[in-house]
Amino acid sequence: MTAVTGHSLPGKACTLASLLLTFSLSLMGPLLHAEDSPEEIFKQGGTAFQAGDFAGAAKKFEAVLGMGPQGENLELILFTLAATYYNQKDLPKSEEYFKRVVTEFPNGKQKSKALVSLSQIQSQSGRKAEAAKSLEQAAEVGGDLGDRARFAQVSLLMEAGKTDEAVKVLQKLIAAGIKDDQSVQAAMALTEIEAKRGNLDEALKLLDRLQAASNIIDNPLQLDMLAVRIGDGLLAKGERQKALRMYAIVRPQDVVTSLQKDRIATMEKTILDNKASLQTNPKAFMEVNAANARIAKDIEDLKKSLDQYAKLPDTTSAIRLRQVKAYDELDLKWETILIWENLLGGKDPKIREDALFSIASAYCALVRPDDAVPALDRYMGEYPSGKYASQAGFLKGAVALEAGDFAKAETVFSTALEKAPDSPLAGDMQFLMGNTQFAQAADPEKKDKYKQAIESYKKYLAKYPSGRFAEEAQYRLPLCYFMIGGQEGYTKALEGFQAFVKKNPQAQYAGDSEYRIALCYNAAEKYDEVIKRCDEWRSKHGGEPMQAEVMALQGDAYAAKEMPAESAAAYRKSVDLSDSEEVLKYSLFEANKQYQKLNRWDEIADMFSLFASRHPDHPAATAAVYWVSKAKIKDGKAEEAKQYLAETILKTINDRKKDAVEQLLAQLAQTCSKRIRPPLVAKEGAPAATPAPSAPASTNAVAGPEAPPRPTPAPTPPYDADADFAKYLDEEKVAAVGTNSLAKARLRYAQAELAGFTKRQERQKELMASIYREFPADQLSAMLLAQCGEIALEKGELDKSEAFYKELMTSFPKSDLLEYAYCGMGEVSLARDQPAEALRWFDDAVEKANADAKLAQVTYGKGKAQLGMGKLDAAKKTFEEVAGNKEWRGEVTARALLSLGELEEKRGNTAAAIQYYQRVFVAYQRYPDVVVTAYLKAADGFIKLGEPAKAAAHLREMLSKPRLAQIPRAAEARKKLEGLPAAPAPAESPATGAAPAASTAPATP
Amino acid sequence: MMTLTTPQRPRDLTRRLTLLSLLWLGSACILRAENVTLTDGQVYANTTLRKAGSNVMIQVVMPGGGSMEMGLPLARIAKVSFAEPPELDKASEAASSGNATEVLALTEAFVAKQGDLKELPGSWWPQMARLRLYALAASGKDADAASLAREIGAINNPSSESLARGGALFGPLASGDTAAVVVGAKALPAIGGDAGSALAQLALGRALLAKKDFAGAIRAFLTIKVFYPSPAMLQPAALLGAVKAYEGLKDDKRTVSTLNEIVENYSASPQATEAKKMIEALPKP
Repeated sequence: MTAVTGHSLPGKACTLASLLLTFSLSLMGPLLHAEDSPEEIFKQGGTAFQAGDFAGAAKKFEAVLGMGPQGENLELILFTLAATYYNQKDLPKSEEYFKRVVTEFPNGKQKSKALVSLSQIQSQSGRKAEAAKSLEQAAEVGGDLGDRARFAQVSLLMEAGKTDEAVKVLQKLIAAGIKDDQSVQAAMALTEIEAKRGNLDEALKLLDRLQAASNIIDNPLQLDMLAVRIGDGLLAKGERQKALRMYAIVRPQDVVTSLQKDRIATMEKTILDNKASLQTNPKAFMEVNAANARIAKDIEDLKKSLDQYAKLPDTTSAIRLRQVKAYDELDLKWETILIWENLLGGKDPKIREDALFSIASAYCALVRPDDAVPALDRYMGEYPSGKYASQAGFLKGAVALEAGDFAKAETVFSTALEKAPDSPLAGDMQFLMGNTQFAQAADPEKKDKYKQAIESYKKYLAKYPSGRFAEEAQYRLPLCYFMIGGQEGYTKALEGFQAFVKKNPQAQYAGDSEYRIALCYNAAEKYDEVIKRCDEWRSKHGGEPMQAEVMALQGDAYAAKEMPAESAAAYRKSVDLSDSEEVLKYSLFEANKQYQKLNRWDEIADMFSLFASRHPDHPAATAAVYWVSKAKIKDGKAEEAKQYLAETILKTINDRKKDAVEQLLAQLAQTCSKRIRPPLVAKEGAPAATPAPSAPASTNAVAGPEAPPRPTPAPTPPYDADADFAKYLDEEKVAAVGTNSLAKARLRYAQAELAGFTKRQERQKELMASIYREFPADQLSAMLLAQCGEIALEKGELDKSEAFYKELMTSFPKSDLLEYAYCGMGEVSLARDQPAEALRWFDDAVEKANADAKLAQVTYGKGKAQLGMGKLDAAKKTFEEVAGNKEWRGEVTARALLSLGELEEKRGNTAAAIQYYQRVFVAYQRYPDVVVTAYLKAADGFIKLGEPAKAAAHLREMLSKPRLAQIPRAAEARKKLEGLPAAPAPAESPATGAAPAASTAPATP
Repeated sequence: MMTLTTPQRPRDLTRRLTLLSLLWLGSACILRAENVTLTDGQVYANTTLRKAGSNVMIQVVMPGGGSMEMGLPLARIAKVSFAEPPELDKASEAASSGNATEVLALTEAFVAKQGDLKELPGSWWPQMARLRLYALAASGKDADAASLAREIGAINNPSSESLARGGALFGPLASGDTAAVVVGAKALPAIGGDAGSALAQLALGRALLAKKDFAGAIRAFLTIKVFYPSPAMLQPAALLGAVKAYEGLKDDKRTVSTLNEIVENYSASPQATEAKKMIEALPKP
C-alpha cells in the first residue's frame, strides 16, 4: 500500500487495463444489425476478447474496420482495436490506433481514454516527456478520466523531480473541495508532499480539511499515518499545539482496523451487487467487469495495508505518550489526566505505573487533594516499592500541606521518613515536616509545635547541611524562637538571626531577618537601636517587600520615644509603601494618632483623603472618609466636610454591596445634627470669624468713655438639623444619581439616624419602620436588612424577620454584618420555642460569621437556648460568662443576671434567685424593662418564701421611682401590692428597714 | 426494459393515479437530478424525483414522446447524482472555523425542505444535516438538536446511527433530565468513537455542569478537545463549557487561558463573542 510505504503517490493506480475495458457495447448500436453483419462479427470479437484470445479478437475487429464504419462507430472500433493490441502486447500497433482515435476524433468520446492509454505506452517505452504531454491533454478534457490523468501526471512529475508542478496539478484536483474519492486522494498526496517539503503548516491545513471529510475517506489508516508524521515534525519544531491537533486525529489500532474492515466489506458487497445487476442488465457486463476489477484492486491494496498494519506494534500508546508530553509541557494537566487514563486501559504494564503516578501528580498540580490522595493511594497500593514510591509519599504530604491539613501532612511525612529515611526525597520531607509543625504552632493551643519544628529543622541541617532548603532552615530556626517569644525566645532569636545574616548577607531571607532583629530590640525597649536598625535596613534593603513593616516599626519606636513628628513621618511613609492591608491600616491610624498629638488636622485630611481615593474598597475606606470630614471640621471647614461626605455617599448609594454607605450616612447625619461652632481660637494667619473692633494702642483693658460699645452678639437663630442635612442630601439629590429603591431606603435611614442624634426617638422609629414596611428585602443593603430583621423581631413578626435575615445570608455571604443574621435567626428560633435550633444558629454566628459586634447577644442567646433545653449547668456557665465580661457591661449583663435568677428558680433555689434579681435593680437602673421584671420576680420570690412584707416593700420601692412607675408593667406591680401587707411605718421603709431590697443584696451571689 | 413496481393498471386508473400524484406534488418536495442510476445499471438522465410513501417517483420520458411518473422502491436506486447545494461549501467553511450561527443560517432551508429524500444514495441531506446538528448542539439549541438527530437516525447506516444516538442526548438535556444524559452518554464510547461520541460528550459535559460536578464536566468537555478535534464546530462550545467548569472550581488561571484559546482559535464562533465579554468582565489586576 502506497500510504504505508510512503514512497509513491497514494491513490488508485491509473491502469491501462481498466481503462481499456470501459467501453460499452451499447455504443455500437447502429453498427449491429444482422447475422454476418458487423454486429455479429463485433460480438464474436468481444467473446474472443473476454476469453483472452486477443489475436482472434483483433482479426474480427479488423474485419469490422474493413467494412468501413463511419463516425462514432469508426472511433469505437479504432479504440477497441488499440485495446486489443495493447493486451496482445503489440504496443506499436496499439499506439498507432490510439493516435488515430485522438487525431481523427479530436472531440470524440474515447479521446481522454485514448490519451491516458497512449501515455501509458509512451511511459513504458521510456518517452516520459511524450507521456506527460498526453496526460496533460487528457486532463484538459476533464471529467473522471481527466482527474485520473492528472494523477498519472503527478506520478510522472514526481518521478522527474518536478515537485512544484506536481503540487499545482494536485491543487487543481482539490480546488472544488474534498468531496469525493479523487479529491481525498489528491489531498492526501498533497499533504504528503508538503510534509516532506517541510511545509508543515500547509500540511496541517490540508490534514484539517481531510479530517473534516473523514466520512468519505476510504483509507483511515493512511490518514492516521499522515497525521503522526506531520505531528512528529511539528513537535520537533516545538509547535506543540499544532502537533497535538495532529496526534488527536490518530485513533486506537482496533478502531482503525475495524474501520478498514468495514470499508473492505462494503467494497466486497458492491462487487456482489454489481454482479447481481447483470441478471437484469447483461449488456453492461463489460462496464461491470471494469468497475469490479478496479474495486478488487482497491480491496487488495486495503487488505495489504491492513495486514501490514496488523503486524506493526500498536503505535497508539507511543502517540498518546507524545500527546501527554506536549500537554504537560503546556501545563494542561486536565488533558494529561485524560490521556493517562486512556493509557491505563492499555496492555503495557510499564505504562500503567507511569500512568497511575502521573495522574496523581497531575491532580497534585491542580491542587485537588480530594482526587490526588486516592490516586496516590492507588499508586502506592499497586506499586508499594515502585520507582515513584518515595515521590508518591512526598506528594501525599505536600498535598495535605497545600490543603492546609498540617497535622495530616506531618503524619504522612513522618510515616514516609520512618519507612525510607534515606530516600532521595527524605531531606525535603524532613524540612517540610518542620514547616507543618511551624504552621500548626500558629494555634495558641499548639505553641509547643515550635519546639518540634526546631528539632525538625535541626535534624535537617545536621543531615543535609548543604541541602536545597539549608538556607531556609537556618532562617526558620531563629524564626521559631522569635515566635515563642519571651526573653529567652527573643534572645535566642536575636542570636540566630544575627548569625544567619552574618553567614548569608545576600540570602533571600536576609531582609526579613534584619527586620526581625530590629523587632527583637523593640521587644527589649531599645528604641534608639530600633531606629538605627530601621535606617540601616532601608539603606541595605530599600525596595524589598518588608519596607512598609520596617517603617511602621520605626514609627513605633519614635512614638515610644514621644517623638510624634518623626513617628508620624515614619508611619506616613509606611502607608505610602504598604501593599498589605493590615500594615496599611495599622500605619494609617497610628499616623493619625501622632498627627492629632501635633494638632495637624490638615495632614490628617490630606492623608485620609489620599488613602480613600487610592483604596476605595479597602475596609478602612469608610473610616478614612470619616477622618477626612472630621479633620475638615476641626480645621473650621464644616461645610466642606459635609459636602465631601455627601459626594462620597452619592457615588455608591445605589450599590447594594457597599456596606460602608450606611456608616457614612450616619456620619453625615451626626455632623448635621448640631450646629458646628467656629473654633474658639482662630487658626494662625486666618482672619477672625468676627473681627473685633481695634482698640487704640494707648488704652488699657478698661474701656474709656470714648471707646465704642462692645457689640452685642446677634442671637443665633434656632438650628434646623433637618434643613441642614437636606442641603447635602435629599430626595432630589438621590434621584439625580439613580431612582432605585435602595437609594430611597438609604436616605430614609440617614434621616432616621438624624432623628436619633437630635433626640427624636419616635421619629427615628417611625422612619426605620417605614423602611421595614415599604421596601422589599431583595432591594435592601446588608445593614438595612439587619436592622429590618431586628424591627420585625421586636414586633414579633417572626416570619418577616426570618425573611430579612435569610436575604442577608443569601445575598451577602461575605458581609461583616452576617453575624446579625445568625444572631437574629437564633432569636427567632428562641421566640418560636426551638432552643436546639437556636443553639445551632448562635454557634454558627461564632463559627461561620465570626461574631464580634453581636458576640455578647450571641453568647447570651446561647445561654437562653441552653436554659430552654434544660442544660442548666451549661447555661449557668454561659450567663456567668456574659455577666462577668466587663467589655459587655450593659443591658445584656442585666439580662444575664436576670436569667441566672430564673435558672436558680428552675433549680428551686428561690433565695439565690432573689439575689440575682436584686443585683439587677441595684446596678442596672438604666434598663427599666429589665429592672421592672427583676422587681416583679423578686417580689414573687419573697411571696414564695412566705415573706410578703418584703415582697410588698420591693414593689413599693419600684413604684416610688417615677421612671419605673410609668412603664406599663408597673400596673402588674400595683395589682400584686393589693394582696400584700400595707406599707409599714416610715422606719420600716425598704431603704432603711429590716428588709430593704437593695441593701440586703450581697455584692456577688 | 423498465419494470414497473406497480402492476399494470387500466388506462383510466393510471390516469387517475397520475392526476392524484400531480395534485399531491403541490405539497411534496420535488428534486431535480442529473442522473438516476438503478441497481441494474439503468440510468435516467435529467429527471425529477419525489417521495411517495416508501417509493420514489421518477419522471420518465416515454419513447414515443411525452413523459410519465414511475414509482420505484428505494432499494432499486443505486445512486442519484444531485447537483451539489451551493450552501454546502460555505457551510463547511463556516463549520471549520466554528461559526455555528452561519452554519445554522445556511443549512436551515435545505434541511427543512429536502428531508423527504434523505435516504437516497447521493443525497446531500445527510451532510447538510450533520453540519446543522453540530451547529445546533454548539449553539445550545438542545431540543432542536435532538429533533434533528431523530431525523438523521432514520437513515440506515452506522455513521448516522451513532450521530443520532449522540444527538438524541440533547433531548433529555433540554428537559433537565441530566441523569438520562449521563446514562445515555455512557452507552457510546468516550474514546475511539466518532462524531456521535463527541456530541455525547458535549451533552454529558453540560449535564454535569448543571449538576455542579465541575471536575466531571471538565473531563467530558476536554475529551472532545483531546480525542475529537473534528468536528471543529463542537470545539469552541466544548471549550466554553470547560471555562464554566473551571469557574465553578475557581480555577482562574485556566478560565482565562481557555477563554483566550477560544478567542484566538475560533474567532468566528459565537462562543468567541461570549469569551471576549467574559475577558472584559474579568477583574483587572
